[in-house]
Amino acid sequence: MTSAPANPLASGSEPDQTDAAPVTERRALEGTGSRGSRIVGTLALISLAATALYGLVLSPPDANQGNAARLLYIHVPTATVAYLAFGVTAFGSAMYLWKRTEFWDLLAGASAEVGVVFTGICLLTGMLWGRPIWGVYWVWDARLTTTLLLFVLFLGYLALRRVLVGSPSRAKWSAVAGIVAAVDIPIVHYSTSWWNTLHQGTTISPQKTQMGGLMLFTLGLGFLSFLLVYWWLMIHRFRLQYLETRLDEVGLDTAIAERRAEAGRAGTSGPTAAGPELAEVR
Amino acid sequence: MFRDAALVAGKDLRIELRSRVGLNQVAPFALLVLVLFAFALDPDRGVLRRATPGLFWITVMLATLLAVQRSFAAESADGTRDQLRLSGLDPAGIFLGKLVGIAAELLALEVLLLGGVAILYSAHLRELQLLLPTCLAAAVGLGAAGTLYGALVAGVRGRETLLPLLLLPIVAPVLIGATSAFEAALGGADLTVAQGWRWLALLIVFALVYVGAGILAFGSLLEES
Amino acid sequence: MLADTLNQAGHYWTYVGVGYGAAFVVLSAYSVRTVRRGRKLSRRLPPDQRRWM
Repeated sequence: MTSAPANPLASGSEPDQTDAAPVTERRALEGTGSRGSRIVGTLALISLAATALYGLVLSPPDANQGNAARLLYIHVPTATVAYLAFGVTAFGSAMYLWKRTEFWDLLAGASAEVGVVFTGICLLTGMLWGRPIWGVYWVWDARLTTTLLLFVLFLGYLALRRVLVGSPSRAKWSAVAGIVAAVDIPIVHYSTSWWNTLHQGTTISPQKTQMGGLMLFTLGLGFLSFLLVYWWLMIHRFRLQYLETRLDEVGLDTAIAERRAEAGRAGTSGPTAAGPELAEVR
Repeated sequence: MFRDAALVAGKDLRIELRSRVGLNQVAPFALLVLVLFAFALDPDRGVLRRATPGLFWITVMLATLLAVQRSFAAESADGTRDQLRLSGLDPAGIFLGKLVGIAAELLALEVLLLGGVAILYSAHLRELQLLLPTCLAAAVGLGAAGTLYGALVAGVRGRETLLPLLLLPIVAPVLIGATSAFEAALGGADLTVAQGWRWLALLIVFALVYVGAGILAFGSLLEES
Repeated sequence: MLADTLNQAGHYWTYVGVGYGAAFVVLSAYSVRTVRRGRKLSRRLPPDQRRWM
């Protein structure tokens, strides 16, 4: 919260201090970060910066697509990570129904939310790539349609989780919903691709791009950095969700106190500038 | 399991028959939607007839939402849900029973709507041996997915708005498959009847997958925490 | 055809810029929101309940 980076909550990296004195107690009171998350976050920031540098400056424009190909350095990795995230959600849901431990429920919920964010970025960059290359923002291609449906499916899943907050059966019901949604993915994919081939004749397929070594390297860098971002976000989202459930157990008193604290802080905090991406990691 | 299913389905259908909500409200609503589509699409017969399969199934989807909501409104009122749980009925049986109830209502509605599109949109009902199994498979698939999500959202706040958001993306393959099968059967599009049968196969797979998922998962939906 | 595309390549920068910018904004907004909410909520919970500390 304190926007002065000179007074970092965490730059003192001696972990053995954490259970010592009131000074460290104050530090321990801050946030969902930990030493591990800070390392991952820093790596993610560095590799993101490198991806931007290589993607925007150092890599050459594509012979067919010109500069628009630069969007693929974001689009393809985010798509892959989004599918990975939904896979983690399905896996976590199944594991929850089997093991019934809180961990798997938190994992599934956190991964679904991060996955939705990545899917959103993937759809956005995909549309911005399609406009110059295909001439339209959107085509009813099988992969696009499946991704869009996936986006909506998991928005629904998240809405269900939000509605069920406080219900004793939240974890189990969400797990069932997660699996039901995941089971749908292959059917959706199959039906849309078949529907598409029957109705449109020829589909516009992504033009085959000859990827030079530098372009492949940049793409790999993109994969690495978005995987790291996913990992970092998962750490924080998972812990946040853990906090949410703990607080939920404490009950209404806490909620009231929180509202009061919010009202109190609204006056004092003022416009804390939203720092650049992931800046709060350190 | 099947005896339990028959009990629950019989109960639901008796409620429907006695309250006549399906007859007095849902069926007129579905016909009204058909009329509204005609207004929206300019009753130039060409457009309307080409769009008939899609409009038909959109109408069925909307009616599915109503049917699922009604079916579980009966279950969440007056603690019926707890009594159902305490009754010792097999959860899989309860699932199948609710599914049969919803699917039967949908099937009746689909038959009614077939008459509706034949008259209002002057659709030629050919290839009934493809049309009717499509109606049945789609009704079972919609009923299965609807029963699962209906049980999920029954009793939570905001269920009227949550159910469409959850259910409609799930049943998108049903819409695609059933519409394509109808296009193949009714003619007009460039689909052959043989392709229609493949779509029917997809619908059957969907129905089987969700009936299976429901039988497996319904137990954990009913039990508390 | 190819030359045509390359000549037009200049204005693709708009799409590229918007795409990179949007990805940046979405990711950072979500990250900031998550971290902030984590800090706010963690104040309400005694440290011994946060096992990652």
